[in-house]
Amino acid sequence: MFEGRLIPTLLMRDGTLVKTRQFDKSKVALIGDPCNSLRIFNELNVDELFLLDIGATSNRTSPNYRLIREIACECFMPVAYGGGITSVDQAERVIACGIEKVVINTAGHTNPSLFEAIAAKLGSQATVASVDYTVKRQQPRVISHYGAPIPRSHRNLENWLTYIENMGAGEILLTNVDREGMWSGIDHPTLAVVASKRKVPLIYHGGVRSIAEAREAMVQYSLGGVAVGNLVVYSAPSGGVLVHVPAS
Amino acid sequence: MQTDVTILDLGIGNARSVHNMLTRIGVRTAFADSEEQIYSASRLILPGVGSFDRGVAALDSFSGVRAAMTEMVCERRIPFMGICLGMQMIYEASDEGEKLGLGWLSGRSRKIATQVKLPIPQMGWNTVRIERHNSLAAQDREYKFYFAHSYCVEPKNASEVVGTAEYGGTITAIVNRDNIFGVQFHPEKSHRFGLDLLRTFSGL
Repeated sequence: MFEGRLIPTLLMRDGTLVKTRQFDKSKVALIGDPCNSLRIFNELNVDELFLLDIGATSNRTSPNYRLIREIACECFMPVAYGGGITSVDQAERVIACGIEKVVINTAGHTNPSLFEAIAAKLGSQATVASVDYTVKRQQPRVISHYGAPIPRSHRNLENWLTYIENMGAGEILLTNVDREGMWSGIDHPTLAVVASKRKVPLIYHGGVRSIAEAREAMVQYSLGGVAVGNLVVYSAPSGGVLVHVPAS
Repeated sequence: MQTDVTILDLGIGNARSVHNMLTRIGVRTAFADSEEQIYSASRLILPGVGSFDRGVAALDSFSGVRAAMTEMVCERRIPFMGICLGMQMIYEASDEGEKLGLGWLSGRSRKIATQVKLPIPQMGWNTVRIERHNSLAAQDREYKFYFAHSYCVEPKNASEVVGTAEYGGTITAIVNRDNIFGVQFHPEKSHRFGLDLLRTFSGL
């Protein structure tokens, strides 16, 4: 039977693992060295990893290929990388580093044909569209952290998801930014509306409090996976750093 | 240095990931993109990702590589493993493209046809059932592997199918005839299950 994936999502900045709350760059906590942490995930046989370099986009720098290659070398599970990718050439170089999938967010807003171009070159299975949203007046709205202008028609979450699926995205990482890093639980109202209409695997991210909650949501909404951050880098909501995978 | 496994590095797959996993279990590897390197191999692995025609075009862009592989695998019969697209390329053709594969085995790749609505490509972990006795994977064990594909092989000779997975229907997961193996999934990204499989292949 095909199983949904539980995906530790690690954020990186300047070569160090960090953790954010609501993706706020001013509330960053340092977690540690990426390669050491990844070896722990190997031992724990995790399903897949997302590695997002939040520094690469905000500083408008290219991906750090040397570091990505080093990290890929440590991972005996599929890895998706995002951060600073604005062209097909960069996406190809990331894949050549030993990464399975590239994650596109900011650049997809300024240049939506990038999804199509990357999918044509690398296959839709390697093309992950990352979508950040916030809930305002009970309506999910697409947002961009790095100031990419979003056309009005693309601010509607459902419209944008359908659009990027048609552009060739093979998978969608959907982050509720209000809940990211906040231990506030899965956004059921939004998933109830958008999950059933998806043509490609949907991965929910934001606020997941327990493995059990993640597994339930995978079944309830037929999700491709659930991405978790706090849950694998902190021992408890108020606790210290502990890179791990809770048993249940 | 003596090499246990030679990994074809033709720019169409993550040769490096395969190398990393083999190195972790103490297997001595070498990369190859020339006929000389292939002629000195004792075991060959062809990793591959991406579209069929692009894979075949890359293979044929290295002078003499197709002929050298065919001689080593089909005549000198060294153990061979094709991974993902590398497995599809050992068959004759694919509905995904127009170019001809290596054609060591008869059949072609077709787009995954699911009886229920499931996303294509299949991306994720899936259980593989071992249908027939073979020297790579044991019938009494449970295997889980990471898949990422839109096409899968339909061999003309059903006895070549030694492992299957269920994804809205039955998908060919492992093929084997004599010294030739093909796996649709990615052992190099399937942690402990992949390690076991590559260790077994390296001992054939």
